[in-house]
Amino acid sequence: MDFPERSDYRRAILSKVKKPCRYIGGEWGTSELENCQDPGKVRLCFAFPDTYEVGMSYLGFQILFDLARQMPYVCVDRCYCPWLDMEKELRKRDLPLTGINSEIPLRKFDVVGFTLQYELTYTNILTMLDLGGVPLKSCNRGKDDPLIVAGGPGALCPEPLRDFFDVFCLGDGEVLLPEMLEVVKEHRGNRLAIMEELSKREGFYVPLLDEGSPSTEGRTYRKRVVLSLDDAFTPSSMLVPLAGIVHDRAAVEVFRGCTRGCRFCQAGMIYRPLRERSPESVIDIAKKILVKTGWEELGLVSLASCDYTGLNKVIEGLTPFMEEKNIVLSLPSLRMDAFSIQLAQNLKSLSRSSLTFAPEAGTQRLRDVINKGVTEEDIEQTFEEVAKRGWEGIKLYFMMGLPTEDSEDLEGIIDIAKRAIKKGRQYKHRLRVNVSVAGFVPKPHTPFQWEAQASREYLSSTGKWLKNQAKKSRFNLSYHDPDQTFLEGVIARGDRKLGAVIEEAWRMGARFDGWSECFDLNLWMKAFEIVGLDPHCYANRARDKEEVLAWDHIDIGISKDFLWRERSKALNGELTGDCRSGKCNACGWEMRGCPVIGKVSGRS
Amino acid sequence: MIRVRFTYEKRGLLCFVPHVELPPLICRALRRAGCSISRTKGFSPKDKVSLGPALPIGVVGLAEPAEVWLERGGVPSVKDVNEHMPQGLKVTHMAEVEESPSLSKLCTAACYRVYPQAFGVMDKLKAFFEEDWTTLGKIGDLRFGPDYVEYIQLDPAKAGLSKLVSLLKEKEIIHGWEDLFMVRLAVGTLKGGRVSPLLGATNLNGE
Repeated sequence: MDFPERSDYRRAILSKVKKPCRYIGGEWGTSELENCQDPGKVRLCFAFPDTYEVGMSYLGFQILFDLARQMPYVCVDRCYCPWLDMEKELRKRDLPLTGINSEIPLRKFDVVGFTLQYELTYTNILTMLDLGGVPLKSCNRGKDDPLIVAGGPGALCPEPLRDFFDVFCLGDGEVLLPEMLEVVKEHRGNRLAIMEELSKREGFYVPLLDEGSPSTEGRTYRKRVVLSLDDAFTPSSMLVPLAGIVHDRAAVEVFRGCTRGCRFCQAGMIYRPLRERSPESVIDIAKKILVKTGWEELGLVSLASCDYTGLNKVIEGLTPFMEEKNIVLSLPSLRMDAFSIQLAQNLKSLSRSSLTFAPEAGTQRLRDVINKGVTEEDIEQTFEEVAKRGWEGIKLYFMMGLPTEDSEDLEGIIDIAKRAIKKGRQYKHRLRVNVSVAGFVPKPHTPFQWEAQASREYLSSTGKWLKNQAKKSRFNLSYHDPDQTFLEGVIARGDRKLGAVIEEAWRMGARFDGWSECFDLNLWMKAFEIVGLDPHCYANRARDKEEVLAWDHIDIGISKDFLWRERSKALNGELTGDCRSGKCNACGWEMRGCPVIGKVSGRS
Repeated sequence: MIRVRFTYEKRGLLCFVPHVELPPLICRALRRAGCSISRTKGFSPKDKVSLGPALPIGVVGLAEPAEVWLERGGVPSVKDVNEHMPQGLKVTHMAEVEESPSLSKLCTAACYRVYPQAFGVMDKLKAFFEEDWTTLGKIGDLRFGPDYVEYIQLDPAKAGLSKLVSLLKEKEIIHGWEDLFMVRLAVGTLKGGRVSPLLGATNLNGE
């Protein structure tokens, strides 16, 4: 009997790390790929700066991977940030970080494309570049080094990372990726020519070639979007992981963007305009993906899938197919209303144990400030339906530290949870209530981008008070670490000076800052001290209307006037309606071909 | 609904996929092959599938047993299923079973082969098995190859390789899992002093 596995050098490393299946690749769907050895092809590696199980759950890379593999002159692989133990093993053995299936070191790719989903993953980018043999800073890279690019929401507030990236891609990957790869193919081996060519095109920000100063308004860089999802690239397959990931299911994006207008929500602003995929297309994509992947669950994903106008048609169209194959449908985001709960009940979803909702704030006043659009009646009706239909538990998401928040709003959080428990009792069962409270982080490109973030001390004492109240009322409440919330707030509205702090913190050992077991704020505070910056100036300082913001040069399509108007309305407790219901709110996209505008009448 | 029993190999880097992650992996392959899998009842329905005794992470398996319940149709062909399996996972036999005890009751013995990966460990390993093998529980048919030790473990669901590794570490013979390469040659019932895999898969133990 012969066991070739015995001589595989990777076994020795994999036997020493936690969760070795993070590093073995071999997902279903990759076997048809070429092995990235063809020297005539442009080598692309998608890089996710967090663990495999988080990165493999990211639908954006699944779509772009499918797109890139269909380009005849491109070969594509993926890479994830190795956990601390694997980083240690790689360094000890002097082994590079490679593409997960090709085993080609990152430095040997033509393009390494990161996605910036969360500020507390930024030190992981440096780990990956360093382990991959790529100089950390754009200005230190030579002609043989890959082009290091970034996309995702973080690319729309890019200054803290401008030293480390050659190009930021602003907007939808379906339009930007093919164009960028075409330019790379054209000028392969000449980094400067690639960067120069991309800097001339809309949707690409090349910091090294940008002459703007931090304090004045210079050139602006406009985000690019696909105006019709049906006309853009449609994925026909997904990679199926070998081991459990965070969102382990097939997924079809039913719409992109959101017009609900929640004022705290960055995604709701930066992914505008709202573009729905047709039900026919959703059904077709879903069937193809399910047949190819064998997944037992299909998620219809978006920022608020219950708002999808084609939902009933899609459910009707997919039900016979899914019933035959015993596949279940899930909607990851539920609205707080009876319709959503009835829908959840009918979906044959995987688990019947709990439903999740996000009232976000404890009183109607504060929910109006943030334009959440959830009323007391909605909450009451939701609890009624949940209890009546026999669900065992309910999870509620709130925020603390929202603008204008006072003690009544915090008491309101406790009151809402107590009302859920009481409703369960009315139906003679114990409704398990879990409350999760996140510290509010004012984000760029939102109406609250000028606001001061609540201090660490405030978030800490508020979190403790809420937890204590929950204990008295016998429900479970957890809150996010205020230290992590603070750092997220610092980096989120950071400027180009922050790059030095990120590098310093990384050199001092900062890794996986989004993971509470790894996070150390003291280390970061030392880094700020060494670089000579005050982090509170970024997080806890209110900005004037006139101040040039570090992300003003990035034009996401929403006007600054609209954001300021929304801020003023927030402070007055005034609501702004969803533009799908009839009135255009003039967010800025009405001047750029907003697909919703043709469907509504009148203007506000 | 039909109950299908099968044996499979777990090879290559796929050995590092934990045992508990195998049911979805197998069921997705079956679904890709056109099968409709029955689901369990209750609040959190799952694909109805059952595996044999757990194989530790990193260990190669050559004749691992499993069962799956299909909604309709007959037993799929081994070839069809294997075309949809990820690399490293391969079905060797497949057949419908009707009245039969559960896998946990059927799998009463397992045959293991252990190769030391570090220099100078083989002699110590031999010495350990010669002197202390009783500490591993019910062991039978111990034999030594040129660079390996092979033995039969009774009641594999209760005592397995984890115990061996922990004992060898305790005695400072190895540092950990990385110093051994281990194979479960077969798991099933003990017949004539050999482990007979379920479904009559080739008896690989005792070459």
